[in-house]
Amino acid sequence: MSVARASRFLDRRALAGLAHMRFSTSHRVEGSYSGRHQSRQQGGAGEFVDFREYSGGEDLRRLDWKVMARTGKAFVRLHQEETNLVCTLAIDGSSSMDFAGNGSSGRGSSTSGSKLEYAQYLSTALAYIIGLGQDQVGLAVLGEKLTEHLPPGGAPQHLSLVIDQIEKVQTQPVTRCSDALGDLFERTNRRGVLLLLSDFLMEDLEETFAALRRFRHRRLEVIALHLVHPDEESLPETGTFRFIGLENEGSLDCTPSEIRGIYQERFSAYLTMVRQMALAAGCDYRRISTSQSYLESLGGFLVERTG
Amino acid sequence: MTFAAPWILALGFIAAAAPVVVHWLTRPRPVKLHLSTLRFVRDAVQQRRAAHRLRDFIILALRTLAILLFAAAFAGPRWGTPALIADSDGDAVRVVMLDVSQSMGAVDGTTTVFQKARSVADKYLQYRPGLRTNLILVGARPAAVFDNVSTNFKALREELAAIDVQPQQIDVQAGLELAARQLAPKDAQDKRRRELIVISDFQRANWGSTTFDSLPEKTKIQLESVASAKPLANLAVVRANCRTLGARRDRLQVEVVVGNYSSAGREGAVEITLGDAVYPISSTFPPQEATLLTQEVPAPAAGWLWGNVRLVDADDALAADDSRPLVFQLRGQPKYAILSQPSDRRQITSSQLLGYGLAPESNDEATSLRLEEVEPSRLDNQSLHDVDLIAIDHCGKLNPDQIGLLAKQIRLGCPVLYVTGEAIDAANLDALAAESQIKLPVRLAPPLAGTNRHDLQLAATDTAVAPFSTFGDSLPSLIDQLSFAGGLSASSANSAGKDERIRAIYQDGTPAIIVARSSSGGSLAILNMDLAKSNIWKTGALVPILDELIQELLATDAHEQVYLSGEPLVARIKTTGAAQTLQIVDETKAADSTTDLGELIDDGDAVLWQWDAAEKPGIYRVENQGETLFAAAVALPAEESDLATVPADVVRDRLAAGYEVAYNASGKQTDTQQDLWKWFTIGAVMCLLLEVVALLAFRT
Repeated sequence: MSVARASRFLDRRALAGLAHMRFSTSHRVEGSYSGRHQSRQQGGAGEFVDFREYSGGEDLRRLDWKVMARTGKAFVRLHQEETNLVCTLAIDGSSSMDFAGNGSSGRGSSTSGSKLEYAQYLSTALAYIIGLGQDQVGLAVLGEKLTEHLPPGGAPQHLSLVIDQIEKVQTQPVTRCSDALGDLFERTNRRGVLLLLSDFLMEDLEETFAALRRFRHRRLEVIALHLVHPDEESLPETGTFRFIGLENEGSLDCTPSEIRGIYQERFSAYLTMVRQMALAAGCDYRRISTSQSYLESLGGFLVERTG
Repeated sequence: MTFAAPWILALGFIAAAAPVVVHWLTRPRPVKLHLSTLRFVRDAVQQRRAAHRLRDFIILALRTLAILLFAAAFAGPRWGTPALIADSDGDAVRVVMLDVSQSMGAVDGTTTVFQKARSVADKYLQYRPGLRTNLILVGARPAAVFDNVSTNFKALREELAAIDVQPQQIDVQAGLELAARQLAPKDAQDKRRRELIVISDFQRANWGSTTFDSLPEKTKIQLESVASAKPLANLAVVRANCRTLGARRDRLQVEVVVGNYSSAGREGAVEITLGDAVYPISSTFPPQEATLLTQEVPAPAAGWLWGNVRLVDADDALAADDSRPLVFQLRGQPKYAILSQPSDRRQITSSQLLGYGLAPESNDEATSLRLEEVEPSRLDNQSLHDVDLIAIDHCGKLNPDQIGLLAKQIRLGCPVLYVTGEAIDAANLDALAAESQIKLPVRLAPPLAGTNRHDLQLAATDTAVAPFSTFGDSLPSLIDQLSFAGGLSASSANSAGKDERIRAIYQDGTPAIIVARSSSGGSLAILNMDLAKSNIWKTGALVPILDELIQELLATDAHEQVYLSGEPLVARIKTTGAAQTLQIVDETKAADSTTDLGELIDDGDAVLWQWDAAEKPGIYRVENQGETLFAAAVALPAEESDLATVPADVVRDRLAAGYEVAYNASGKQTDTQQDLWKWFTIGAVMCLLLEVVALLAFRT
């Protein structure tokens, strides 16, 4: 598979180790083409899976005449159709994704090591691997609204476009995500997989999961990849800081040593809450620490998916 | 609390801001850091902020307090009001006024007020270079130990140790004037500091109107009140006297006034000892009131009578005023002299009627003992000797000698009853009133020619006024029956309205009965009528009217023979004997006592007893070969019994206004506590330790 222009987030050499792996889903999907994934259609061209007693009106072409001759009863043969996977990569484009740890000199100066960068690496790799599997991949960048949307496609040019767009993702100082997900929902017309890469640091967390629940109602598989920076889990050890919010939240002077315990308790509780809300919404939840290499995270994720 | 070096304390206050400044200067400069999870930080900060603020406040407060305490310790703290009279160096003149009046003997707990005063005074009589001191003992007659301020502190302290409470009333003003003389600068170059220390209980009765104006300018006045912090309850006999009842003086009434100077009423008993008889009286004494108790007793034989009135089981703060001596001279039935011209005895005369009215006994012999008729031509001292009242009726024209003699008798306390039956009496009265310095309410003059003064009716008279109070409600009907004639006209009407000296008035406006007194106590009564021509003797009203009038006139000479201890005693004793033959006897002491009782001096037909100061209460008699010629009851001044004190602010701000005054109540120790800096240091260290504890507590 060739990609028209190399993205800085696409490291084919590194991904060569994962090339044999495929992004799969246990859910039945609706694809445009035949593929490796179970389709919700049970036509006659796929793999035989079962017999079922014939009921009036069914297509007589699926009637197993031999069985009928032997038993005198009419049975139809059931085949599982296989189709390609339609996967939409939704990337949280809020400013909180810019957080790159305490070593960062500040917002906007560099996104090296930020959660967004991590998401870009991860999503680029996923798109590449999905493309390798002949599946269709789309892109949605979530901001105040749906700032970028590429419907799923399987063509190499499309994949290039997706990877290219991933590289161009820019954050916005927004604190809401549900509206963008609503827009995406309205533009999604096929069953497939919605893979959301976010830090879930948003004000409308409940509305966000309500929106994801709507995807689930449409029988899409929703995978929530919760990106957590290690410097978010614990505050700096010493010193006094003026913490500046990334989403126009103002600033706050404090000595982290005084509040470290309470902060960690609250952040841990928040992570737990996000996980519970994701599971409650029927989402597949996976927390990914950006301290881990994205390749390791991706490998583990794909292995887990493969079962 | 004061400080030896207040500027250090001021520096401390400035330094107290140091923790705040240090906190501000050393607070960590925050490093800017972008954080995606600011909301969790904010939540955590909000949760911790209250605790941290409390911690910061406690730490800062303790740190600031520690600095202030350190500063206070270095500033030399001293507890107590700064003494106005400090033992500082420099030349000074100090006068200590010590109240030695009777009220200082009040018992306050286990000690007396005076003992407290003595210890306070001793503190001010300690030697210090450059200090000259004198001690003034302020009683009825204040006296300084030395003529001038001295450095002989030892002698002053010895005098202080020897002195005790005197049964006297304090003369504050005299004491202050004596102190002012002691404190007065010797010359214009005398710039020594002047200090007056007044140690007293500051009784309201004695200090209420005192002023310190006589003291030199810039005198520092230290008022040391040794009065009890709580009001002391005191019960006292403040007056005891005896008086006769009736014109014939055949009954006695003892009057006792008991003052209850406490906030609660009390039941109590008074025991009156008069001669050999004892009369107990029980009564209730309301708080803050003087209760009058009376006891009627039969009159013994004429002569001096003395005794004592005592509160039984008073159990109060001041025991000295629980008894009071009592002296009374019972003169027996009064003797009268009627000064009148001899008259034709064939018909009843006005002077005869007057005699009957004065001595209405049926026994002629008894009457002759009490009544003596004196012709004006034979009027002299001898004829009026031992006469209690002089009645004048139809005496004719009196010459100046006679007028002078009568006026002298009036001045000596012998009342005169003048019946103005003749026109010449107007001139006699004018001269007598002028000579005896008695101002009559109206000037009586002979009736104008052609004026008939007969069938005169009395105008309506107040029934409660002597000499008509005997008649009560029947007075109007009596007045209707009475018809008067004679008498003098009033040449000048009293323009001031009703005058209480005019006891009865005729319907024509002329006075009928006048009772006038001189400022020295002499009495002159005028019956403006001719008794013989009036029908008053026929109605039987003459005797009761005269009885009541005479009783009032004689009451003036039955004065209480009470002298105040500490005050000068001067008495004129009528006697024919020489002073050398007389002896003064102190009833309460043995006969061989050497106590000064004054001296007896011949004064014409009398002897003058002069005693500079009656030292202590009691009965003192002047006798001649065992016969008592005079007796005096020396009693404690009643003002000393009321132990109520003047409020501190009144003494300080009003009485001693204009001076630098300090008031120390209840003899509190004014010594400033000098070792307070230790406690301040300990407090500062404790603050620092508490700070550490607080830091550890908040950390955990």
